[in-house]
Amino acid sequence: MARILIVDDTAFMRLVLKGIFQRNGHEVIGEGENGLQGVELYKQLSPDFVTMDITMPELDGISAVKEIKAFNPQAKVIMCSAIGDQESMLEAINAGALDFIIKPFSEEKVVEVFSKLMA
Amino acid sequence: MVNTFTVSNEFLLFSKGGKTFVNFLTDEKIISSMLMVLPFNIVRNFEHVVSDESEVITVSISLFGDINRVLTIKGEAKMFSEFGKALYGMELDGFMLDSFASELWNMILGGIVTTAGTQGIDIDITTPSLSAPTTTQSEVYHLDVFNGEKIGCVSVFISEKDGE
Repeated sequence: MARILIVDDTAFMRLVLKGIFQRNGHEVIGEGENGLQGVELYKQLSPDFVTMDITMPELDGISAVKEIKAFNPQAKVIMCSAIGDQESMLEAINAGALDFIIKPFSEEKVVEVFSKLMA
Repeated sequence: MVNTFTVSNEFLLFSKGGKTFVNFLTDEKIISSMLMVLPFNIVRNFEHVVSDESEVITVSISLFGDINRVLTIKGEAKMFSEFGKALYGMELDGFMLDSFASELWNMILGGIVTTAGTQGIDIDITTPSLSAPTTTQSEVYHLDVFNGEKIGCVSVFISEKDGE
């Protein structure tokens, strides 16, 4: 079981991800509505994994990943974004993200990515 | 790098690095991106107007970069509810239906951004807002949604940004 922090500005997407994680035996320990909240929650909660949207108010997901990685270089962040162009993916990976899930996604895709990272 | 937009008949034309891109935000591109997300058939209807009497949801997202426009989707709440059921098997209403509609438009336009990137067009999108822009709508696509038979419709508006 992993302790997971979800960062996404859309309540619906947080609901969907939370359901997927809970159905697959993980614990969602926090939810952030923007990158700034995501960074603060990461520092408070030290989750095993973070799912991070890119386009968000206050602080975008790429900048949030950089701040989280500066705080903890071992942090495990998976980007979860509707924008799947090569530039965004490269930027996310360069910022320190481990993987990239493109919305819309299936439950199977999320489970596959997390199973791979937890193996 | 100089980007030149010409409003009116050539509203969707623009140039970048000496190359002209024609009508990038066409009905075909928008429908194609919708079909990547939604398990329905979607076709353009040149006559339909979403009833003002129905409960409607309006979501706007701005494009910026090589293309600077506001794209708005407007449809009956029950249509978005059908989308939510088909995609996630959930009955949604109220705040969560609004949130789903925002995410849906974000995913559809995310697809357009991704397609644009493969053609050398650099655009990004803002977070969604549940409102329509106050500027003049320069292009409107009314779209019928079919699941075997017609189940509803949505309209997509392309507008200039405020102050442009």
